[in-house]
Amino acid sequence: MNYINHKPIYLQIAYDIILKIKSNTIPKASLLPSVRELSLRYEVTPKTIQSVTKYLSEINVIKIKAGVGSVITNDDDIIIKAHMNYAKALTKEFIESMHQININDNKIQNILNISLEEENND
Amino acid sequence: MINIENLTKSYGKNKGIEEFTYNFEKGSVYGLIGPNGAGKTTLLKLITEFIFKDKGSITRNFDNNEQLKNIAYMPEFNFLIPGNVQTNIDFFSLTYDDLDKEVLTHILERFGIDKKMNVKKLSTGQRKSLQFALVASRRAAVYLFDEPFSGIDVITRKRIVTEIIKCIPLEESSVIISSHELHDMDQLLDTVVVIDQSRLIKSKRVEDIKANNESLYDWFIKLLTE
Repeated sequence: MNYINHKPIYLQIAYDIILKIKSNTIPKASLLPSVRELSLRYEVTPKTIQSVTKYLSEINVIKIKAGVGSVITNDDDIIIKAHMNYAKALTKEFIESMHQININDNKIQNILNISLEEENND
Repeated sequence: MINIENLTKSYGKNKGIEEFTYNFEKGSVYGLIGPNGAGKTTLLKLITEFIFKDKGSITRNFDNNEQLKNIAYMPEFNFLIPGNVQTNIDFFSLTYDDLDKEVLTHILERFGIDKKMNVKKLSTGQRKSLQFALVASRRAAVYLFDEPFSGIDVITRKRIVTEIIKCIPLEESSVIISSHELHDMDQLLDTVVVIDQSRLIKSKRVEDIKANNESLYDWFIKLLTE
């Protein structure tokens, strides 16, 4: 995975896992791979993976059960909400960067509409 | 794992390290970052007892802690002996009985280093890789790498980063990597410890740095030029 340098790596991995659960690449209600396995797969330290599981457990995507591991939720709503939060976070960044170059909210909506139209015509 | 308090060492009039206090914990990878001559090597040599302190204390919180027992140390200088790679493996395993030869074989395979190769014929990157492989294959409590990335190409650098994550039992040990720059180290470091002019300037968790939308590199430059 290619990481963005100015964002916490654990969040980038957490979002990747959420996407994988949503697309059923990682099945719901299954066990999340071990810290060691995830550390190797994402090429990050075990400490980073611990931050990933801590975050996923805070937003209820997983439940950490002692002696068992991290159990992924079976609740679609939780996954949909986590996915939406990811989308919102990205949108917030987009809006902030538009504000930085002095584009007001009306213009942002115009630009979005025009860009979406162009995108769909491609 | 290693608790350091008020550590001071000077070489005549030159300061090596001054009033350094820090607790290196188990399960973390530390980047000991600072410009050349900041005191990084001095600190690592003090931990390994290659040199002796003037003042302060270094407490090693693990069993069997005489000099290099349980401390895997990759110095900045070349420690390979004349002969081929196998000669070096044999010599190294005589010195350190905690060498895991299976792990070593795997690392060397991935680096494409043949055990029959003469060390004289190895490129700079391969020589550094071999030394890294020997040290990383030890089963120790603490791993110290002094400038493992200096003078090597990007590919070798990335391979070494991958191997550290793959081959060192990071949850059970404490790893300290010194470097004068932070390139390609984002995935590897849990905490950065910045030293400059013999003193500890700042220590911060990498994820806390990035939580402010800052890259490791930008944060470091800002810190040193402030």
